[in-house]
Amino acid sequence: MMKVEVLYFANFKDITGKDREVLELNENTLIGLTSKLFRKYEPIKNLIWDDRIKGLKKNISLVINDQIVQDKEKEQLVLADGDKISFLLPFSGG
Amino acid sequence: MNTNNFASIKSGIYDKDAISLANVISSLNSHPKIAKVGSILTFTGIVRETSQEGKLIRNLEVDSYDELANASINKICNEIRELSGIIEVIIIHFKGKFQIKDELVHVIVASSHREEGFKALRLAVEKYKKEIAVWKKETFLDGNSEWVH
Repeated sequence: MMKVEVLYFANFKDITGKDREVLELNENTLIGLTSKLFRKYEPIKNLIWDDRIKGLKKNISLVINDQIVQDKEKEQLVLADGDKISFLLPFSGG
Repeated sequence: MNTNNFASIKSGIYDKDAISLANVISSLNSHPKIAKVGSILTFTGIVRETSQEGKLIRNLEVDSYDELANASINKICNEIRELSGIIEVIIIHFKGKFQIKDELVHVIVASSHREEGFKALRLAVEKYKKEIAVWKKETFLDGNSEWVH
């Protein structure tokens, strides 16, 4: 069992009603996290997940510990206890 | 030369109305290279009453991932400061809840001559629009709202 902190911005904040929370994961991969997130907040799946490629949508940025993850195969990434994770939709500066 | 005042205004994400454009410009007076500056250009983005699709807006909310956005803003400013003739670049982006006409962002470019300043200002605006972790939520007159992406 490990814990990660998930940060929510914009649409994600509206869906969850909070700006961050700590989640306990049974599986230490990104898939482990997304599975848990989708069970808890079904609309998040529609926002970030592409069932055809069984992965994150192309327009979604994954950020771990304030760094944008550039890896192509993000879904198999191994997470560490205490990681701070967020999914970002395309930006829209003022 | 006193540079304390200048150092106190940093590019980044701020709460609504935390800094005025006038304060940023006056802070440049104490910039260590102010004698090389012949042009100060500014861009201010404000809340328009219509969305990109032409729907009437009641108000606007801006959310940001501060750590990421501040890092990107500093990267943009550092890149543009490297351009020939550019003395200083400051980007101030506000977050919070906004009404029509409220200021959302200021971009300030100090350059030796106006021509390189105009180019740098446009580049800074195009970059912040795409590269900083900020999102706008438009609430329309009919009460519906949506995040812009």
